[in-house]
Amino acid sequence: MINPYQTLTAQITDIKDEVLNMKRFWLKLDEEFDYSPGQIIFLSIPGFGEAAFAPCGKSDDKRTVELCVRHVGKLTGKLHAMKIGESVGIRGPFGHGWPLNNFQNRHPEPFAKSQDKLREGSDGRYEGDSSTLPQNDKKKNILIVVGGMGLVPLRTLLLNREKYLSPETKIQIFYGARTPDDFLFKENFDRWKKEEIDLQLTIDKACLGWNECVGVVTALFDKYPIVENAAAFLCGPPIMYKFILQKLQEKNASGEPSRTASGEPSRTTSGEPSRTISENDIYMSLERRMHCGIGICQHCAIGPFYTCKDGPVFRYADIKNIPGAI
Amino acid sequence: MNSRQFSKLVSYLSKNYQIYATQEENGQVVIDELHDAKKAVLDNRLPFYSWKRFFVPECESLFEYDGVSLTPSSREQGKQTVLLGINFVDLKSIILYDRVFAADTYYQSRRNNLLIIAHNFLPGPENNLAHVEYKEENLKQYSFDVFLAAQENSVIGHKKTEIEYRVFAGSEKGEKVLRESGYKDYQRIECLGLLSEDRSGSAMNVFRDKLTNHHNPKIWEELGRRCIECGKCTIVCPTCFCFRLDDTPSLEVGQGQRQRCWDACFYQEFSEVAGPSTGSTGSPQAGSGQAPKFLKTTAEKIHFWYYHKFARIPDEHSITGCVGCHRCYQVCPVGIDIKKVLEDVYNS
Repeated sequence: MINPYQTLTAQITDIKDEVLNMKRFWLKLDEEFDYSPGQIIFLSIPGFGEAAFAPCGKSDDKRTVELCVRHVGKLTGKLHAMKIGESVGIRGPFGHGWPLNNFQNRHPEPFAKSQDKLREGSDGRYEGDSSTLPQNDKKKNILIVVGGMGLVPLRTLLLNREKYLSPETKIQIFYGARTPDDFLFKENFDRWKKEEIDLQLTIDKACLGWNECVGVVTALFDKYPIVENAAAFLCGPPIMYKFILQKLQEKNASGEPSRTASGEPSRTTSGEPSRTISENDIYMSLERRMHCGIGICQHCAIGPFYTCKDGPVFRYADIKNIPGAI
Repeated sequence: MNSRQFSKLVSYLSKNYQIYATQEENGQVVIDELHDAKKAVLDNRLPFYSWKRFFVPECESLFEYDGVSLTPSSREQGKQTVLLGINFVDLKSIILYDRVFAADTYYQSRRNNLLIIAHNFLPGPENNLAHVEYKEENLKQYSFDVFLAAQENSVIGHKKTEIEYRVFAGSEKGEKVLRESGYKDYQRIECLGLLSEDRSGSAMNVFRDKLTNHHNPKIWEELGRRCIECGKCTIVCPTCFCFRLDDTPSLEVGQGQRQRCWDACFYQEFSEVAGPSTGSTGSPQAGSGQAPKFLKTTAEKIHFWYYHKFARIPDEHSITGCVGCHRCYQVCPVGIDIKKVLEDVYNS
């Protein structure tokens, strides 16, 4: 019987200061460790406990896990005090990450589970019937909306774009941070722009030398049209989700038709491609306290789901009616 | 099996095993280690605590750590413990433990060392909210090693009377102890532990549907005003199994134990995450001294408790996460009565 609480030992091979209070750690393992973008791993430092993190590096180097960690508590404080050559424990990966390969790996388990559950509901609120889901042969673009540290679990996807996404998939990023100094992974911005990723930044308050957008991340929706025929991948603090969802709903309500049942990108009467995103195409990564990682301890439960096992990435349509989910 | 043969079985067991049995103490039935075979009491009184800790202990060591490496804590091999006197209401909780911890190596090694002797005495209606009835044909759906079914002509109650049991062996282990104690007149049945409740139209299905699809905040807000978040209900509840992992250092530098201990969804830290203080709306609120958490109000916590038992457990394990023992009400300092709460949910 496998012991799911056992950890693998990983040696810190490099450390880089990312922004104030945040460091990046490269952890080397003796064996291969395979994960997909958006999945979580548990970091263990005996004496200080464990916590869940989403790796942020390239996933094809299976012996290295890259973490970007803010010093917020005891465990992360201890990690920040550690030096190259010291070791930590890792277990996982757990859960489901972002839907990939044009959504062919669409979370089979949790979503099948939720569909069964919600079909049983008597009020017919569930709209996610598989016949209306976007079909896999249709290309789908991705709108990434992130705030603060939210880019962390999406960087793995961006760095492994050719592995997980079709070459035609367009990517647009709306990224909000408090100040220009708080943007993570600035080293990658030029490369992403070269790859024709539409990266739009915003900061909370105007400051000297900043010529781009000012305001919370939703301000970018008013400034730039969102990429057509897209799914939205959201990651950030809970408060951000409320405003983004509100924004997306406003967009949907502003008269533009949503996707057709056949999965064809719908066209507006003027022949423009759809720039609305239905709640079946909104995915969000949720944070919860976790202890076991395997859906037993109950700390991360959200309605019928466990964040560690069925998430951390959920489809909005599946969780929107659960009190306290967002 | 008559009372003389029962005594013979118990004295055989006490010679060969460590026994925890229901016994009378100051007029109450308690579960304690049995030192005198005559003291075992099987009757319809519900022990104050359930049998939970024998299956899911308050705290157990998962690993000994030294630096970064974790060595699985040693588990006792082959030393059998007898649990004597599990009543028909509490017996159901074992099905749940077996399902929740089916793939848990620590649970399984402990479980293999338990020998369960259950009986069909049912507590009175106040401690049998699910109106469980004993039916012989349903026995195979439960999980036990020996089952003692008091015959209908026996007097069921506090007073010591002549009781005849029909005896069932639910496992090879059960058969072995019966044979070795000199008792042969038992019936062997295959325990499947497969209890699956027919939910269609049942009250339990209504609770599940109401909690899943018709959330009524009023019920929980009202309870949230009364509940003081003491967590006593989670301690006595046979089906509360949530846990946390704690690192407990020893005096040696870099050494200690990683333990798994009971937790309670009413405790402040249960849903807490690291990060800056936030107000109830999620907005930063400097100096509030509260770490961000996802179960912020008492109402959310008590809803979480009920949702787990009456929606999430049924969805995951096909049984209700409540055996109906009413222990939660008996320990509640503010008198929250699960019976009344469920009536409110039903009628909401």
